[in-house]
Amino acid sequence: MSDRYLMKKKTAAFIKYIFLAGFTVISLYPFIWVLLTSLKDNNDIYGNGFGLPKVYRWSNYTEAWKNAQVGVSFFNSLTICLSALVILILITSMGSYAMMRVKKSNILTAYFSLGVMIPIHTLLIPTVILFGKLHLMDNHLSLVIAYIAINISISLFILNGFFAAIPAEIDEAAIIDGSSRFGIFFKIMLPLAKPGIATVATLSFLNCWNDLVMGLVLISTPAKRTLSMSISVMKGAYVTQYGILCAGFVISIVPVVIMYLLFQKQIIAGMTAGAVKG
Amino acid sequence: MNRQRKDNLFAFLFIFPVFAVYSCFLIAPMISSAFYSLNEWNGVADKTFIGWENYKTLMASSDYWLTFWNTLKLVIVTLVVQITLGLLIAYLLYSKTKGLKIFRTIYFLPVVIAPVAIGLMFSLFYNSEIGIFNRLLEAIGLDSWTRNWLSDTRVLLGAVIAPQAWQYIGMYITIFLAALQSIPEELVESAQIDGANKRQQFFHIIVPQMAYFIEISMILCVTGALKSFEHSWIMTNGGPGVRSAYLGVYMYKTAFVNSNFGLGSAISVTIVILALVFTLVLKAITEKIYKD
Repeated sequence: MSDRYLMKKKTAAFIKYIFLAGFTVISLYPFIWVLLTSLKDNNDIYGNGFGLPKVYRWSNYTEAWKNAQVGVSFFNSLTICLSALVILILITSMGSYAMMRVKKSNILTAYFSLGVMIPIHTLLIPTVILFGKLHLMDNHLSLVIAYIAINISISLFILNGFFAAIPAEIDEAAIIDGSSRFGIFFKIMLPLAKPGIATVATLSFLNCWNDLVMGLVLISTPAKRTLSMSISVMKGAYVTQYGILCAGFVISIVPVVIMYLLFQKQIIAGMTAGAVKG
Repeated sequence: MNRQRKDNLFAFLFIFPVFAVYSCFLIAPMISSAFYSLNEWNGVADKTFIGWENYKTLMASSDYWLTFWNTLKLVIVTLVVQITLGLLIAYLLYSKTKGLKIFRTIYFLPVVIAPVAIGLMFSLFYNSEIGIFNRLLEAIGLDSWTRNWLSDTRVLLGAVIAPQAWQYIGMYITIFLAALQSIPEELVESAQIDGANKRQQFFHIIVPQMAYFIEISMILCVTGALKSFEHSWIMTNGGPGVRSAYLGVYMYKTAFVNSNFGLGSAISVTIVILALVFTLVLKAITEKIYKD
């Protein structure tokens, strides 16, 4: 190969990495700016917008956690999301196992897939009316139920793939050995479907944690707010206390970032489910 | 009890919980929404059946059409920005890149963050005193371009659309990268042997192989845009008036700020119809391209 060809190739590679690095900055820098700003006082923010904090103001975090009620709503969100998650996983994996391996039904599968098409806003009004009738307004239970309902379609879609892929001989062998369907489900199938369950768990946790609008319409007492709601309220209440606002932001995204770094594979699989198989 | 009947009973017991929750809290509400849209109703007093009146009101409402066009602009911007950058960056990553996993991890990060947090972050960036956009413009000597991004009506809608377009690029990079990695290598190699250059390879081998993924991604883009609420709500409350509102925000304001549940439901129904229409149109277009 000629030198010129090599030169051209090297230049192309160089431009490519510059471009990729540039997009890395665009993706990451916003978060770094907020992180740095969350540790500054207002003087520092006005005078030194891009640099490291002159004095580290950790009190921004305690202020956000206590006075802006980020702490209370953090635990509200955690309880609501985890409750929804546990019930969701239990009922969808039961349903998926039965539909995929005991009584196959295309009609049911199609019926359960309708939910993927429904935008959440179209549910807001009827959901408020329904929970009003059930006397569950301003009650965390209503959010738990709503989050389960919203996530059923996509969870079944993911789990169905996993349950359908387990070889049929496994059930047959277990039945011959005298195991009951219950035994097969809990002792054999659930462990085998673990990767699918992990995907459903991470995806639905993110969906619940990141929701704002269901909380807005179902919850009214400040002490019962979800974290997303507190963040949106903070924006009005701490309108010029930028450091505290940023601290609230950081607290709200930390669990998500940690989860993302730990379960990246499952999260990406879950969020791109439907577009990319397997 | 014989095996067959036992299995039937078991299947019923195992499917019933998920079926009940799904039917009562998703499908039934969905259907009642269509019914509410035919009534005049504030959510508290008795409903009055008024037929198609709410839909007629919407068709005559300038606010409805303003938010409709805002949503359409969001759809177009996200389609162009996310699909183009998604394809381009995925292709760059695909062609023997060191540190591919690190790049992908970073690019996908914004996708997992709550839209409400992203909206808050950008409202700080747009802030006229401390925001980074004005600071950067000053730093490069374009002082005259600085402005209050979220109150200047000339740039308002763009300022509200930008964070959403930015946030989900990583999603499409990831989808397209997975799609590229699933293309058989022989296909690309044989094209190279035939003397196809990079650009020809891209448009004649790779893009056709990815048609399915591009279609799915466009549908995701459109349904995502029709679902959008948080970015606009947290940055501007959709205001002033409904100038920076999408259909979802307009529906929320109509139902939960102005207590007009009937009209709000009608807006919801139009959102569902739009989602269906867009999906069918996109499918039809891609099928036509497939045939040609």
